[in-house]
Parts: sequence; C-alpha cells; structure tokens
Amino acid sequence: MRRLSEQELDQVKRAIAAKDLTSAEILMEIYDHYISHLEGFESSDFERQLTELEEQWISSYCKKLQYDLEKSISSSLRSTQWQVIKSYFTWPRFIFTISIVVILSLLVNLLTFKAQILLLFGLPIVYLAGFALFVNYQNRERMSPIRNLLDKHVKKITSIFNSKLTVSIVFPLHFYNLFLNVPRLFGWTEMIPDSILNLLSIVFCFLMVLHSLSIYEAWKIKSKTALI
Amino acid sequence: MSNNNLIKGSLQTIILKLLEENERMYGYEITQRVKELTEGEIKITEGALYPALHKLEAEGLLSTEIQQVDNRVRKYYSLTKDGQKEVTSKMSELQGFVENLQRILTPGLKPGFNI
Repeated sequence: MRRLSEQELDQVKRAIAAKDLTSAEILMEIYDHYISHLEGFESSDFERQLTELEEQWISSYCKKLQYDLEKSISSSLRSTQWQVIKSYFTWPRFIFTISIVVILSLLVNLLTFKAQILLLFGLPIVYLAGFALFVNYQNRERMSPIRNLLDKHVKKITSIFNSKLTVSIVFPLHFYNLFLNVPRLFGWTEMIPDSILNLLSIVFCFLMVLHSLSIYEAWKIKSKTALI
Repeated sequence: MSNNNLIKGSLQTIILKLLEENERMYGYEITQRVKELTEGEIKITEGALYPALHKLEAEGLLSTEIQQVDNRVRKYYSLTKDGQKEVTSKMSELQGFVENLQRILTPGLKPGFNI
C-alpha cells in the first residue's frame, strides 16, 4: 500500500473527468475505487493498472450507472415520503388533522378574501421556498470536499439527491402556476368562481402542508447519509 | 468457478452476508474481500457491484455513511434493520436453491449441507 504522487492523482482525475459525469455521488465512488485499487500497486505498474481500470469503467457504463442512480434516488425519495405519510396517518391522527383544517378554514373565513388566499397559498409557499434554500445551502457545504477535489477537472458537479429533492420541494409551486397564473395569461380571470377558489385554496393548503411536512421528514431521514 | 451469470443471481446475497459479518464496507473493499475469500476464483466486477449496492440502498436494505479518508470522500455501506432481516431470508432462499440444484445434478445424494 503506497500513497500516489500528485502527478498520478492528477492523471486519475483527468481520466475520471473524461467520462463526462456530473453526479457527485458517482464521481466520489469511482474516484475512491480507482485510488483504492491503484494504491495497492507499485508506481512502475501504475499505467497498466490505470488502463485496466479504464477498460472496466468505460464511459457508457458510468453514464448508465448515473442514470440508474437518478431513477433509484427518485423512487427512494417518493417511497420514503409515502412511508412517512402512511405512518403518520393513523385514523385518530387523520381525524385530528381534518378537524384542525376545518377549524383553521373557519377562522380564515373571518379574514378578507385577499388575505385568505394570501394566507392559504402564501404561507406554505414561503415555507417551501425557505426550505429549498436551506437544503441547497447544506448541500453546498457537504459537496465542498468533492468539489475541492475535482473542480479543476470536472466542469459541473451536482448532487443527484439534491436535484431530486429540490424538484420535489418546488413541485407544488408548479400547481400554483398551472391553476392560477396560466389561466390569467389567457385572460380567464373569472374561470374559477370565488366560492370554489376558496374551497380550492383550503384543499390546496392542506395538500401543501402534507407535502411539506412529509418531504421534510424524508429529508431528515435521507440527510443522515446522503449529500443533502 | 467464475461464471458471471451464476454470480449475478447471488450477488445481493453475497453483499448482504459480507455486510452482516463486517458491519460496514466500501465498494472496492467488497470486491477485494470476495476475491480473498474465494482465493481469486470469484471476481465481482464493478459493472455488477455498484448497481447492486445502489439498488439495495434504494430498497432500504443498506444505509450509507460518507467519510473523508486521505483527501478523498469514501462511501461506506452497512445493513439497516430491514437489511439484517433480509440476510436470513436470502440465505435460506439460496441454501434451498443449492439443495434443489444438488438434487438435480446428483440425484442419489441426500440434501442437507450448508453453504
């Protein structure tokens, strides 16, 4: 077991960068695999061993690995979120949550129409936006050792976990655009009557709170081990 | 015996069993341990190992831990509680399969050996 020289390390980094990968999760695993293997051989054997590694870790295989990881992370996040929702919603809790939503809706009805919409749509969106910023900040911190290591060689390094989680966090915002902003673009301002809009905002608010809390719990579970 | 197709079918069981015995391991370490235990007869390729590790992680059978080692980042895998339960079930499944295979290959031989 020996330490690789700076020149050898640079050669390894360049070989990995040539694979055109972007995922920090895959890059760190391949880099560790290469170095762990090469450290077991003398410097005279370095070139041959690196060539052998390159024959095994061909670019198409690495890209497939990255693609499969993206898919499995997406499904893992969804299933964790669903597990969180299922484990939370036992019947008593479900009834309790519905009761709270009904009471809050009645209280919100005391406000003006604009204030109601702002409160029901606005608060969860502000929470989600803040949460997305926090997750991205934490990811930046956790990614820094990988970035420091490969930044000079790899153009773009991102965490698949972070990308998928961010997409999931901002998902409700797309609904907001779809149901409220897109009709406005076409001048359909009266498409949804006020009475239905009120009910819609309560349902939407409930779903957003459910989504935000479950995604937060999923993040808590995943952040223990992933780059988020 | 180094038939890749035969190994592929039991790769998940091999990984789970090794992690049961070693608490936590990283990818390269797993390939080396298998090579060492089988005296080089079985070589797990990266092409099969990492997809299997990622799949087991996504299924919640493995958890991971990221650690800084000698100026690089290393990902360690270990068994979750579900993973620990799965080892027993996978092992008995594989044992049953090997026994049945033995019955087919050598009909006269009584089953009951361990893998």
